Amino acid sequence: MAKIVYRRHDRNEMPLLPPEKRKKTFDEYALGFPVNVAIDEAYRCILCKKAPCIPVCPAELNIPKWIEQIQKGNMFEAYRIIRENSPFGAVCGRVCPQERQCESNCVLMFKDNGLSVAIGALERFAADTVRISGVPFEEEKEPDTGKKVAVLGAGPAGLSAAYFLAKKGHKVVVYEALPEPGGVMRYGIPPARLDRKALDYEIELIEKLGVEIKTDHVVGKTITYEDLRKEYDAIFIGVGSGRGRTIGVPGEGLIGVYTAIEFLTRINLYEAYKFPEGADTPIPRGKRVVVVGGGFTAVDCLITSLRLDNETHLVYRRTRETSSARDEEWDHVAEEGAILHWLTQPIEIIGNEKGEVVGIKCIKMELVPDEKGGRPRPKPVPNSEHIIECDIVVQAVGQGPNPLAYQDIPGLKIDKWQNLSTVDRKFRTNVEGVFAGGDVVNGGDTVVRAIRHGREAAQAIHEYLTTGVWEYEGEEE
Amino acid sequence: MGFPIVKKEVLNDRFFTLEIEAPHVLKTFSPGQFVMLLAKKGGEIIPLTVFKYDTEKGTITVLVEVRGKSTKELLVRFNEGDEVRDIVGPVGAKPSLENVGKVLLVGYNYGNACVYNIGKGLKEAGNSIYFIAGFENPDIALSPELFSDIAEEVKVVGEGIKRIKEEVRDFIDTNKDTGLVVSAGIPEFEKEIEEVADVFEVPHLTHASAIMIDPVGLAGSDRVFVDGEVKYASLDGPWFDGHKLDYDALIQRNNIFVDYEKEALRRFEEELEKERKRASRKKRV
Repeated sequence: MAKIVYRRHDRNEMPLLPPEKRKKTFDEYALGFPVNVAIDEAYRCILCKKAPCIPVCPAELNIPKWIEQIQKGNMFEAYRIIRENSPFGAVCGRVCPQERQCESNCVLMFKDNGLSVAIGALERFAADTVRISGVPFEEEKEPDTGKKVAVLGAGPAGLSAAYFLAKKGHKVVVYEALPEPGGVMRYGIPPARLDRKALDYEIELIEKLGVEIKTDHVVGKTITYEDLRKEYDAIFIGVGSGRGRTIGVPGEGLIGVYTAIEFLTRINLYEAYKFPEGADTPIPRGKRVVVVGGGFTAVDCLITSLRLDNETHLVYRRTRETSSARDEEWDHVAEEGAILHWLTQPIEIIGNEKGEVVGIKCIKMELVPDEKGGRPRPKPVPNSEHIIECDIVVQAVGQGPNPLAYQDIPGLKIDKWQNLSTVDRKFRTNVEGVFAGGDVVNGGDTVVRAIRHGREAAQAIHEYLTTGVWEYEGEEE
Repeated sequence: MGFPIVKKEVLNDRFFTLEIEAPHVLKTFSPGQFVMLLAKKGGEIIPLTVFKYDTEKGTITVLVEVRGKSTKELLVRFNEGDEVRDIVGPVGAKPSLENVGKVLLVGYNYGNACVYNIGKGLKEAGNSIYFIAGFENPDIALSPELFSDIAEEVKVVGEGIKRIKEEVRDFIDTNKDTGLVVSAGIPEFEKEIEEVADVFEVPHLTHASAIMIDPVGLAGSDRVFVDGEVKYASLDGPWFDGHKLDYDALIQRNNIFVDYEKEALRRFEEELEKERKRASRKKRV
């Protein structure tokens, strides 16, 4: 047997547009691997038999199996293997925090400060190659079962559930309140990080399996639970937790204060960055913007704001190291000119006599150990109040629930946050035939985790539809 | 797949109606609710009240007031047979409509369609309806016949907010048994009506026309303040207790994009002007 060569240090990095160029475009700034680089990178993978990357992938992709296909130049087969676990390879290859998931546990890293295989970049490469080739990608599905499933919400959880249910031969109809499918992948993640062509393609592949997506349908309004119950054999709730939270400081009613969701939706869904030439939804440009928060959404707001020629600041009450966004992304936005204020907590938004924002009053923080052993807690530093002058404040401080789609389900057990964390391990709610997954269950997590929920829920729904067995394992009151 | 316009009627320089095929809206529709319309990709989504509807034909009719670019574009670019890209709905809470006896509806410009819409429900609940159809000026006033089928009496007042307010005061003064005033238009107008309703201690239901970009309160651009609490016009509204709605906050929020809207309209009018010139040149040739 040939000796395994460990190429620990020669990791290929994806080419990026230089900062001054990427600031001028809403197109993707990470350019993807060229084919020779992709194959070279694929060959760094030693194809572990018991691969440690798989269990840390929330979607449990069989990573070495598809990387092996890339080594062989067989991108269609690689993509097919990815799709056994996730219909959103092109999306996840771009937006997953891989360095905390698959790439955090690569064997190449176990010695000599090795660098992991660029798994995310390879996943993206396989998916993009299939799409760009123009060769139709065919997927098999099982014969029609005659069963019908309603999926509420066309985000990552709902579409993933729809995909796996359709492959099992069930008829699936997805209801979406917004004019376009995709959920957070559409209205939230900016095109600079996720090319809409890649997203559209993966949604089209789901539709190609016979999934019908009904946009413009507000569940709970356009269609009620009673109607759904009559028409469908099972229901999957994947409506997310999309309601922009506010910071809760004085001045939130002022002109120029946005939730992250409003700011991003205007731009990503309604293309406000083309205003007034190519789109009719406005968004201010050339202003001074302060984004409040420290997660992915805050980064997305920064990326977006920078591309609107705004002087762009971030304030976050913790440190960069304790934030939940990726290190690399803070580097990217800093290179593009964002001014990052760590350990800074907003305490008031200040307006002028016309009610317009003119600044945000903040206080410096310091981290102190948490008595309960959790993350270090930020504590205000006395007499450190200061004002950052600005015209716009974007609040990227998390999402709240939006129970509209399920509040009319009689007897449905909802947790104290109005979410559905009450589901059992098979994503069953306490109401027979009703399942839930994604952010509506876990309150706010990654796209990839929602995809896994969708897949596992689809499996559970399939079991239910074929056996008729319903044993809710959650706590009954 | 879009939603075909089956009938378009231009009423005057400011108003037109579109009858649109949107059967999905009507399955659960109840008076007081509305739809959101996105005419085309890249367009601006706008909330519009369901003015009239025909359940058998599966059509809704919206009354559109030409205000900014989006509404102007609907007027000049969308005709019978064309499709609008999206009709989302129904949107909004179903208000509980009780029989209080005598109800005064008072609208201002586009708001007349809103009070008509909810007035229909109030009529069905057994109320007798009186309608003051108010307009900014006589030139844009609409015919009372548009509203007369639900009302005992329709009075068109085409002399602006101050005059409408006086009419409302006179009505309540002579009809002490008025059980409810319903107003819709712009918050500046509704605030004036609230003054009267407050003085006479008549319950007041009013319509919060907030900036709205999604139908489920997702973005929160439609947040309004009611009795100090944050509410969402798309979810909890658009109808709120007129004694409790914070009109000034709503006025302030509605001004956010005024300059942008003017700019968009200016550009669109320039574009139309160019087209007109080109067309007339062609004619001469």
